Amino acid sequence: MFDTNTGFTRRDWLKLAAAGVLGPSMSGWMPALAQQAQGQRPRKSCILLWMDGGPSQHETFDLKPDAPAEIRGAFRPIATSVAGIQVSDRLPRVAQIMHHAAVLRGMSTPDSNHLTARVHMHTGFRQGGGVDYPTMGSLVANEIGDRQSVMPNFVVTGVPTYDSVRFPLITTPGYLGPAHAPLVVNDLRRGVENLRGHAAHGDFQDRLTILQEMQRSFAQASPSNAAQAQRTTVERALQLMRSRAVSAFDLNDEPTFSSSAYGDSYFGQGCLLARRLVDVGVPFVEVYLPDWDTHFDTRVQKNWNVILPQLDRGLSALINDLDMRGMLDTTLVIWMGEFGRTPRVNNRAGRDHYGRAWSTVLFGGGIRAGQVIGRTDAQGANVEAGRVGVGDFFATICQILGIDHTKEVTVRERPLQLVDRDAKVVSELF
Amino acid sequence: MRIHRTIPCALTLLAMALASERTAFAQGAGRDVAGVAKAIDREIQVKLDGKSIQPSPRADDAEFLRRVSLDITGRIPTSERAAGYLASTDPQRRGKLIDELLADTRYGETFAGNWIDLIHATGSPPRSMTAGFRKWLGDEFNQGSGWDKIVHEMLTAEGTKPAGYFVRANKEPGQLAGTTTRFFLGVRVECAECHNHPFNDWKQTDYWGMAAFFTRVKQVNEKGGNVLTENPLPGKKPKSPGSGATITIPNSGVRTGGGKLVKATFLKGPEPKLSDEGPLRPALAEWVTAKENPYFARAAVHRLWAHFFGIGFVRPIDDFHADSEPSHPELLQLLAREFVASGHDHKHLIRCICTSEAYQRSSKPIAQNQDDDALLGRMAVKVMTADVLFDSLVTAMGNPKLPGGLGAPLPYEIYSGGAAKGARPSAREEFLKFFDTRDVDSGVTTEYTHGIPQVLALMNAKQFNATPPVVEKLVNAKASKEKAIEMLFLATLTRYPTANEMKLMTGYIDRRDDLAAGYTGVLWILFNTNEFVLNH
Repeated sequence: MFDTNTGFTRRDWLKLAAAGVLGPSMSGWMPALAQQAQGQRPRKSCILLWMDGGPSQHETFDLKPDAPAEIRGAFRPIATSVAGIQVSDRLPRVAQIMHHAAVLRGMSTPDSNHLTARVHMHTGFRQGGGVDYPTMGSLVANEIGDRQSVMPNFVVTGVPTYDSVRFPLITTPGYLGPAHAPLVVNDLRRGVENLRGHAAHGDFQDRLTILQEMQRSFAQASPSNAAQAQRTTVERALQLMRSRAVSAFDLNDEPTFSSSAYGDSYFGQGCLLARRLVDVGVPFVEVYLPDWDTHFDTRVQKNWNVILPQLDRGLSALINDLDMRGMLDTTLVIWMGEFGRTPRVNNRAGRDHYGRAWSTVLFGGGIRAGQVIGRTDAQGANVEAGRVGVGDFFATICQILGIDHTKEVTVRERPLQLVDRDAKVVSELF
Repeated sequence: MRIHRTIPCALTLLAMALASERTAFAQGAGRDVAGVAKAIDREIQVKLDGKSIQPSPRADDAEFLRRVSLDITGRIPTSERAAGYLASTDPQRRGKLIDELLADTRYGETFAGNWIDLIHATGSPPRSMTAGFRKWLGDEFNQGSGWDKIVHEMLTAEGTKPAGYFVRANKEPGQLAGTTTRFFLGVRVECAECHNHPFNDWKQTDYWGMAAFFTRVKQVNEKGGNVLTENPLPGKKPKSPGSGATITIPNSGVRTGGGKLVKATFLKGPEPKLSDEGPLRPALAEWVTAKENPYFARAAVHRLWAHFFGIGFVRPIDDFHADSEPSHPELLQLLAREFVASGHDHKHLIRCICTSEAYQRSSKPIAQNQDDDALLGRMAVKVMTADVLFDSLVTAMGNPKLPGGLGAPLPYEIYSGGAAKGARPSAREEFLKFFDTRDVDSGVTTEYTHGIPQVLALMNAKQFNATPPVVEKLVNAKASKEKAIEMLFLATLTRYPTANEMKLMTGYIDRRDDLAAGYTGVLWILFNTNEFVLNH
């Protein structure tokens, strides 16, 4: 949020700040706001729909109708809006948007442990080696976000699986530093916390005038990055309080017909929030949908009866809404979890973790849609064609969003790759 | 400076034997604090002279009181304390203040808190043990135990001892090797986990050689609780005789050398003789905390120095390597020597640092030093940790009982439509979670890391907008407006208001309906200033 990478030296920066060049003055926030409201949208945006726990490819986007029952599972394939592409019969609405989708059936990743795979699939790198890599939203927002924006460049909402202590929302900005952490919307009904002042309008203005004077005089007497950064952050928080863009967080604003299309589930409302935020220029929004860790019968039932219908409604409404608003070509929607699930149903009627062959789905973002890329064998045990590793996946996302994935970054004097050096972009998408 | 080039020969078995007389209580007491402080200032002056940089003048009493209180006891002083100190004419008042703060139990709690933050940032310690560890470590600091003894206990703790918190926070030998070397030796061997490092001289075998010391650590559930042990489990066959302590580098995609067997070896030091079974950590702890270990004292004094000055001699503070170019190599050596000679006494070193002119300088730059922030011509402006900010807010408000509700409910709570299991976090816990935005791991304390959500909370959360006890007290005491404004400035900024500030604030109060509303608004303004949230 606070920009530390302007290319100015620290000294330049302090001089400019002292001269009043940087940072909108408090009295000038109204015009500054007007500019932001009409400001340019970033060229592309991204919505990550994170299926926490690891969704089963055999129950969603890579069905094996001809395999024996213990592989095939309970669902049947149905036709979709694209001839030759079939999806699970539990996703009838999603079936109608497949002409906007590219299914990657060749996902193949090394990690089958939630804790590490969640990080691996969020950052593109395995944990360890003394480097903390940023989560996808921080990485993307840093590359394509508008540093001067009043609105956050990265927002996370939704619910992680079962245990939010062991499996929290992944919000690590890694080596990019805390300024690149997301704004987390914990409660969709409340939106951004603490946006309203307690004092009456006149009192509040009165306070701000004095605060501004004290802020300036301290920053002049003890000029430091910290004092200036605090001052800028306060001013931006005040802008946000007055901003019309921030009403994007307020779902009560939404006409009922539109919000009902998304379903009244928490995930559906998260998808709606994501669309509203992208609409006002937020470049990256992540929405969690939990309960995909279907090891045994009770979890399977919950997933089939509650989660899949929520997904079907929320995802299809999101894609249709983006399409109707002409935003789909510039908005990439990613459907993924940390891994897939075992091809064979286990003796507890569930499926376990499986990274060797699974599926992710991309929508919009200007990709060549309406296709399936990659193929698994008859049982879904191995990738036969179109293998996509973690690095390949990240390189592809970068390419779609217009980010150079071969870029090097220097962290603590250590040269690092934005994305794994050997990564190959999935060329069929372009 | 290439201190560690000399390590292989500096460490002998004899040295290890000598070092085993670890100091239960540090012996800094009789040592010459003023002399060390002068030596610190001499070293700094040499560097300033070399660049023709003039130091800023001495901080006034208000600036010093606020800074040293924040740095040692983790909160601003009360208004009463500030008024008393600012009225004092005792020529010894700064030295006495330092002693008084070091005798306050909040000194130990503050530094224990810093270590807990660091351990949290790099591992996953057992939450249920945090309070016990905080108490243990805080007591050790407050009693003045030697750092060598404290670290020895952290590394070797068995059973359910609170000192075992550090080891338990790390899930595998490699992680323990990484944090042990960073925290206690000030080097980042972990960069060599996967391959030899291209930019310094750490070898993959340095990392895994240290990791091998932790291969026997396990946690076993017994009747008395979860027990940390290195002894063989009953019924387990001992290893083949003579195999000693080794670790096999695990295979992984990014790693070279997978499958290779590495023997337990002290960092750039000898391979100790170790038994085929039983604890290995004592041998490592002896070596780590030995007086002769040049890494150990250097890492400790460097961390302390960076705490007080906001900047270390190298960056990051735990990354000394062959090509490091410390800004003040002689000073670093001097501090390390003094630390060892004092029996690894934290309090003594803090006394020396805080007594120096360098520490007592103003943070306000002058024309002759404004372009430099490495050579200590003026004090750095530091940020407060979440703990320090919370404790300072509460101190300034007059210790109110704060309601919770700063953070929204946990996501799963909303989702499942019911309350979460267990108690809701306290207002303090909520605050810490919400306001801890630092990259603790980087050791940087001069970078402001709060974002818009934190600033909004400080401005608009209901906790900070109710009428606090300090305001009620001023209203009830029927203090004059001017007196009340003075007290509110002392309670927050640890100084008296300027004439202009007095004018602005009386004007503000006069425009309100009643005094309570006026004072509450004044406090609100002060809380949201950069001057309040920073340590300068």
